[in-house]
Amino acid sequence: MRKINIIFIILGLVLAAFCFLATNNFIYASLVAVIFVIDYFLLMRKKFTHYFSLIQRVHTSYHFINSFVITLSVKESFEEAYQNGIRINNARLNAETEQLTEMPVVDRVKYLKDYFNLSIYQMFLNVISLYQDQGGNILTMSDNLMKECTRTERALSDTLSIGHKHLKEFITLWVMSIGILIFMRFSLSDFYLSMLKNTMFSTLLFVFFLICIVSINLFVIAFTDLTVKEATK
Amino acid sequence: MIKKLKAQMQILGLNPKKEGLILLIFNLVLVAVGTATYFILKELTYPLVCVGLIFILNFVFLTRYSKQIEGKNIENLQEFATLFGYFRIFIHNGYSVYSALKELIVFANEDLKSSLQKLLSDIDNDKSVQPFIDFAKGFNEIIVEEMMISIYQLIDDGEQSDYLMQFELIFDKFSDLLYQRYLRGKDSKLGTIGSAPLIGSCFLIIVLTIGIISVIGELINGI
Repeated sequence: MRKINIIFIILGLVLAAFCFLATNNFIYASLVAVIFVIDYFLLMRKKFTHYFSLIQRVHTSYHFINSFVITLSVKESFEEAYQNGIRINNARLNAETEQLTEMPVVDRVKYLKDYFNLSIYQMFLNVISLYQDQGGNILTMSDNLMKECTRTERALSDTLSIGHKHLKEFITLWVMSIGILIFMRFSLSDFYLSMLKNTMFSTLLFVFFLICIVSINLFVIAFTDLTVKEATK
Repeated sequence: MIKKLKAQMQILGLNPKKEGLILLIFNLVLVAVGTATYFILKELTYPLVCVGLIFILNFVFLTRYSKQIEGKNIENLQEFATLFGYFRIFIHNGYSVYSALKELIVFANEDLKSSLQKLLSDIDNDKSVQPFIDFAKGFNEIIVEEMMISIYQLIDDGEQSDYLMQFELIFDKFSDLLYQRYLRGKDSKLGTIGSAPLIGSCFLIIVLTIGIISVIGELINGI
């Protein structure tokens, strides 16, 4: 997340620098930087935090459920199934599980519900408690659960690839658009400076940068919108 | 038109009077800004921009309800697909249709929670297929109705019957259909927002034209 914060602060400064080059107006450039950074910290940052956390939780829960069910079916031991489930390189999950060593294994599995916060994990707990009560073949019992997990994983990966495809287009088009403006600024030189004497012209250029900020905002909202069902409180 | 808007607001749980007041305040602010700029700058350009903004604002504000309803319907369908995926897990693990539906309430969002509660109380009073059809009507999708009928058939014949297979087939078809629709929707939404730089470019061309014309105008006036 720190990387994203730095990228967006730099992006705000770059936009402000381009705004200054295009308008020769320090106030407009500062306004662009301030609006962009405030917008990022108030709105976009929250979206990104949730987005990255959700992706990580979905992948980790998928791995956990899959490993747990398979190990349980082979070894028929909850402890071994749990140990195999948490064998994943995830700092947050490791920190969570380190606190739970004293608990009985089933309680540890139930405790992770708050960490994953996904409805699919709630469903997994239902299957596990049913298996504890009635016994049976865990692989058959969780067959449809695994199908649901796979469906969620597939949806996530398809959504990500669509998002990345459009992200590339979005960045390229804005770079070209701003590039044309900067090219005009230097190629028209004195003529451009005389255009800037018109307040309306420089104000509209400032509006152009505002349009850019709004579109980045809308893109972030659409990009980070994932249809993974989280647990109901 | 007003009746239609009121109905849309009621579906979304919004207060029509409050919505009207918000729109009125926005319009009044823009009118005030337009008038003030005219008297301060003695120029018609800014008031004209305000008039344009008033048209755009009213259009966006009043057309957003139908889009929100559409979004809500899609969200409910996706919620339905997730819940009935869980329903399938419950049925496979020996739950009866009634108890599986009851278990789903824990997972449902507020909209579907109340629909499921209504379905369960209707099943208590009416043992026919009608409560299932009524439940499906809320989704405006024939395939949901087919699914609900196949669930009704499960009540009598239990999980080992052919009806379970029928339910699974319909559910898989529904799930795929919804998934494809979701991907198309996501692609089109990002595509639409992704075209914002083109709108920016068009705006830039207009701005540059204004700049060039104003300089040429000044030159001609200077001659």
